[in-house]
Amino acid sequence: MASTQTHWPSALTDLELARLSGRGDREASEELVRRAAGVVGDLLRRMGAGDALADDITQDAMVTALGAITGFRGEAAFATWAMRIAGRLYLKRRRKEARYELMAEPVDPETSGPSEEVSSALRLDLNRALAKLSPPERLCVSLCHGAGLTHDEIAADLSLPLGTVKSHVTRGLKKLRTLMIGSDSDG
Amino acid sequence: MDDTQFEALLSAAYAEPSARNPSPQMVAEIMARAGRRRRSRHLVLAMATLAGCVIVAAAIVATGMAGLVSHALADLGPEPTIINPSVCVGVGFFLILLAAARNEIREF
Repeated sequence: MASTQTHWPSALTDLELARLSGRGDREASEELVRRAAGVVGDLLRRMGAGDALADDITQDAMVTALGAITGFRGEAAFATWAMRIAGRLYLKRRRKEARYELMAEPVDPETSGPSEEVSSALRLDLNRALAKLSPPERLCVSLCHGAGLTHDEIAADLSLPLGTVKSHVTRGLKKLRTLMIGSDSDG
Repeated sequence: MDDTQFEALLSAAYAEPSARNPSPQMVAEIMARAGRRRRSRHLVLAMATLAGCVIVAAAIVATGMAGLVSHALADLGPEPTIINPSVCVGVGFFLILLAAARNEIREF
C-alpha cells in the first residue's frame, strides 16, 4: 500500500484515474489534466490555433472532459479522448472561418506544398511538415488523424460536402508523406 | 511503408507526449472551473428534484381539495336536473308547422 502511495497518482492508468476522478478525487483529476493538456494544446496549434486560442480551448476541453469523465471507458488514452473533444470545440469556435477556408478554391497540388527539393535525407518532424500544408489541409488532417474525427463528422460539423473534406485530407496526407518520409509511394 | 502504416505513424506522432507541460496556473484554473461546473450541476439537480417534489405535493393537495369541494357541493342540496332537450325540439317543430301553415293560408 505504501508503494502505491509513493507512486500515486502517476503510476495509475488513465482508466483508474478516471474512475477516481469520477468519484471526486482532485489529485486524480489533476494528473489527468497534466497528462492530456499538453498534447491537446499541441493538436490545436497544429490545426492552426494561436497560443491564446489554443490555451483557451484546451481549458474548455479539459473542463468538458472532466465533466463527462464517467463516460470515459478507457478504450483509448484519456489524451486521445480529450483531443477529440478539443477538435470539436475548435470546430465549433471557428465554424465560420473554418468553413470559409475549406470552401475556398482547392490549392493546386502541383504548385503548392513543399517548395524545396525533397530528398530521402530530409526528415521533418510533424510540426514542420504541417507548416508546409495549406490551412484547410492542416485542419482536416489534424482533425482526422489527431482528433480522431471521421470525414463524415467533420463534414457534418461544418455543413460541407463530404467530398471537399476527403479531398483536403487526401492531399494533406500525400504532402505529409512526402515531407516526412520522403516518398509518396509505397515501399 | 503503406498508407495504413503511415497513417498509424501519423496518429502516433499526434499523440506523442508534448514538450510543453501545462503550467500550474492553467491546471489550477481548469480544476477551479471543473469544480464550479460540478457544483452548479449538483445545484441544478437539487433544484430540479425540489421542483419535482413540490409539483407532486401540489398535485396531492389539489386532489384532496377537489374531493373536499365536491363533497361540500354534494351536501348543499339535490343535484340540478338537466332539462330534457326533446321538449325544445317539439316546441320548435310546432312553431315551424305554424309558420308553414300561415304561409299556406296567406298564399291561398
